[in-house]
Amino acid sequence: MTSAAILLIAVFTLWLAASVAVYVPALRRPLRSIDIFMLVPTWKFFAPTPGQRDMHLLYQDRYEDGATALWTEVQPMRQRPWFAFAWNPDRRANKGLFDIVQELSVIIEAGEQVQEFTVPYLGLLTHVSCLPRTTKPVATRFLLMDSSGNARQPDPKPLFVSRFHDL
Amino acid sequence: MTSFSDPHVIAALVAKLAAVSILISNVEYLFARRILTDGGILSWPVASLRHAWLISGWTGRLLGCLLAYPNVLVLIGCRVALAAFVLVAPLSLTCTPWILLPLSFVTVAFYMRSNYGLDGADQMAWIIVASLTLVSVAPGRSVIVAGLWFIALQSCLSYVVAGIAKASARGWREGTFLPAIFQTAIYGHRRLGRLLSVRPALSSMLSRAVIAWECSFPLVLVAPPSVVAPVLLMGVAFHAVNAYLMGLNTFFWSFAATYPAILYCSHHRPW
Repeated sequence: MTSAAILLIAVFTLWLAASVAVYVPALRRPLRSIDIFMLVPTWKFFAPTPGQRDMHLLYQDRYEDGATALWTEVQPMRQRPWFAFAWNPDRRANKGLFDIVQELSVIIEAGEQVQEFTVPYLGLLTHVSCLPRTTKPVATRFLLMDSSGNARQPDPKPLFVSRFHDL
Repeated sequence: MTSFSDPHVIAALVAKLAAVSILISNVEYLFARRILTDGGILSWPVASLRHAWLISGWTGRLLGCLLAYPNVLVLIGCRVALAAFVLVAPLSLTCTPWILLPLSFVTVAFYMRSNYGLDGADQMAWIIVASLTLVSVAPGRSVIVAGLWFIALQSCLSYVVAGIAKASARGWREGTFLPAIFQTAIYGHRRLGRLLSVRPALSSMLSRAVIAWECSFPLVLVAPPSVVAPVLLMGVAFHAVNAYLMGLNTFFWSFAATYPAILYCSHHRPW
């Protein structure tokens, strides 16, 4: 066996060890901090607690005369087409929004004050600020809601309303 | 039979199946490119604020040049072209470093852009590409076999971790999570969601079957070879059903890509 082969086998062994070690709570943060190439995966597959509600992002504009528009939902979820098992481009936008809202809702549910300079907050604010509009607003704010298709649960539920931001 | 006992052929098959996942995923990104614009949900000016090195110094300049919109479309176009080459190239040319090194480079660059919107299928496809890239630079038999074992073990790890995590959650054990997931718009299937919510026994049985299958999956590496193929066929069926019911289309290809490696390892055990 060549020295290159021995080196590569050692790399695979270390890589696999890191992939197991990342599930040890004490090692997760240090491993994540050095894994800039995202080589150490975290397998979840909807576990332990899956997302059981749909996230909704809405925005409301304020105009120069002080009047406010009605809340408008951004990118409302559409029923998946039958061919989504093969071709599903909508899932990228849906998953992206889901991840951002999920990150922000963790902060909200923990009861922490939502920081306006966090990446998820700025991401949502930037997104709603850049949406095309027919009438130019002077300020906008966003609202996060979640909902479930399950009739036994109250639907939908507001999670967070931002303050108005000047545009 | 001879070719299926050749690790070079197996590595090429793994690469081709992963290439299908990468190809679909990136054509989908091109189709939904609005989300990558500066005001989109995956905006680079916002995502680059995650770390100082993403916006400052030479790394910031380089990544800014590669990842800003619309330049990022070139990067995605390169991923499409390279994945298409891997898919159609003859087996002998599939795992060449001239293709896999650039594919690894554009893949990792794209994943640095934003950690939103990525899923387990992207993660598995990346692990396969990165490990086969390492194999391609020193493609001796022992390295290829080590690479196949690595992919097979990563696949087993993914299932067993998910299975144990599900088994630890009461909602999974009792089957209450399944109807709730299927009633969402993002991953749901309304009719099945409604059926499972009125048939809790069915939901519980399905839930426990998934937990049992995921937790026992690593046994494919020690089970008699005759058992391995049926277990892998169950895996193919599992991901096909998830693709149909939940819209997880690229999971099918990314995880099926690991199965030739598992099949090889289960038939060529060192013990």
